[in-house]
Amino acid sequence: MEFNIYESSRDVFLDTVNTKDYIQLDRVSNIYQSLKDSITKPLKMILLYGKPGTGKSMFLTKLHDSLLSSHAAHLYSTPILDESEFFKTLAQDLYGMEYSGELNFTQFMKVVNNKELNGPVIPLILLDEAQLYSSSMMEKIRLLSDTRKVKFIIALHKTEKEDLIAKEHFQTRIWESIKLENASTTELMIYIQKKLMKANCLDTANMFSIKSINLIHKITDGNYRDTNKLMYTLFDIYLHYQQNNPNQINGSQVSNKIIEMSAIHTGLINA
Amino acid sequence: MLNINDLEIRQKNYKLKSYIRYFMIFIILIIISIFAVFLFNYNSVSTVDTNTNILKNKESSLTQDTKIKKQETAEHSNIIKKEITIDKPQEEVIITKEEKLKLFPSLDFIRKIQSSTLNYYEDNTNIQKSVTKKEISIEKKKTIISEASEEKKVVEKPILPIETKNIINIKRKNSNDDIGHVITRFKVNNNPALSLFIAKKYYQLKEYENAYNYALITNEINNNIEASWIIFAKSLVKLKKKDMAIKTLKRYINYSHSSQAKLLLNEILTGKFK
Repeated sequence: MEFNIYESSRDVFLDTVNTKDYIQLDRVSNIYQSLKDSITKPLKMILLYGKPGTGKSMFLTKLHDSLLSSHAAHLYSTPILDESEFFKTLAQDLYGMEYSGELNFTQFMKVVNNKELNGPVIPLILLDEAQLYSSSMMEKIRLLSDTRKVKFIIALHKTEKEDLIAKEHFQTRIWESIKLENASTTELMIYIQKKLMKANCLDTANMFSIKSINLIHKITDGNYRDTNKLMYTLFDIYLHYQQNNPNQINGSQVSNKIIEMSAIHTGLINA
Repeated sequence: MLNINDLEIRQKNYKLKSYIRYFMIFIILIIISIFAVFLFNYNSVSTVDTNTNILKNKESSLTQDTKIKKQETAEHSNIIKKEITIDKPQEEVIITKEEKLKLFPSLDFIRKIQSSTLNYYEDNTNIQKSVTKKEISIEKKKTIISEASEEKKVVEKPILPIETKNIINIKRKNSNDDIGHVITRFKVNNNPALSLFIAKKYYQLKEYENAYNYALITNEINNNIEASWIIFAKSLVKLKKKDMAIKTLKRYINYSHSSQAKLLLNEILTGKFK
């Protein structure tokens, strides 16, 4: 298959959570290291929060992958909203026990209390999109962390659930609270260029000037998910022009016009 | 699915909207600036006027030196020259006041109080010289004057030139306009003294026909006024009616035995008066 620079560049920005696509930025890597350090501490829960699209899922996935060699870590990317199913999955992951019937919280607590830890390291459960869990479920997760036989890392959006987490009885159990934020202009430039260079799209990586990055940052506010969407559409439009009207594009610099067209198409600009 | 044409149109509209925002801001700024400039100009009309006055005064001050030189050479020779020299220091005082703007109080009230003395201008040339220097203030002038005279005079001297201005104005008004004013007064009260005054003035102005008429009018009102006969005869001579003048004078001499009329008659007959 023939290599097309715009097509390859476009596919780089497909909105998927893949640790291979993880871009190490200075600020994020500092947060990542502090989170790894806090896992070794005798804490019960770690809270990871931020606006949608700030890279929580990617962050959690990356952490999970790196911990697998040293910890018994289990990532729940999609919330298990059924309570019985949640406890059955926990029993399976923590103790290798399979339940065919129902498993309620009381039964699971009995199991947890009866089981001893295999080693000095407490098993780690990483819960993504934890804002989708109900309040009662969160209370049960809190009680489970009180047994000190399982540790939870909870990633959630900044919603009402966060207020619940912030309540006093939760605060006493959360020992580490980490906030993820949108990228700055410089970080966004590094993010875009590193992502493209990782896919050997050096020509398109060099197309981005500070001015065009500023415009992208103005449109997306440094949100990684929005940036990915915008960049995907941007290269899709470039691909369209290349195939239909190649005279209208300049391969040396990203056109602000096409950036704005991408933003209009993705709904980031209301026009 | 990408609809590039639609996207291009929407992008153009978006761009236009964004430009309209800046355009509106630009227009508003221009309107504000125009309004501000208008207000500024409106408020600064008075200051502009004062500036033009200052410029005019500066121009007049440039001619000042030459005038003063004339003044020095004239040295109290005649009244006209005195008037010129009087005008100069008066203007100079105004200039120094305007250049100092509002820092000095108005001395108008002192001018009104003080009585004028022409001797001051004849005697004191120091004041005129000091006035020629633009930057010297009124206070400095006072100190210069105080060196030459007593303290009482110090107050009077810088003010005196202004008072003499009134005298000058009166002299300058001795013109046809003033005769016209006297004529209107004469028409009201029919006073032969006024008509005689008019006749004399017209004679001085070499308007002999008018002088003849008003002398005749005076004579009709009162035929015993010697001066009216004299002016009447003189005007006739000037109007090249010498015979009529001689005839009239002879009649008057027979009637009144006026010595002045006789003298005039002799002068006319001998050809001394033409």
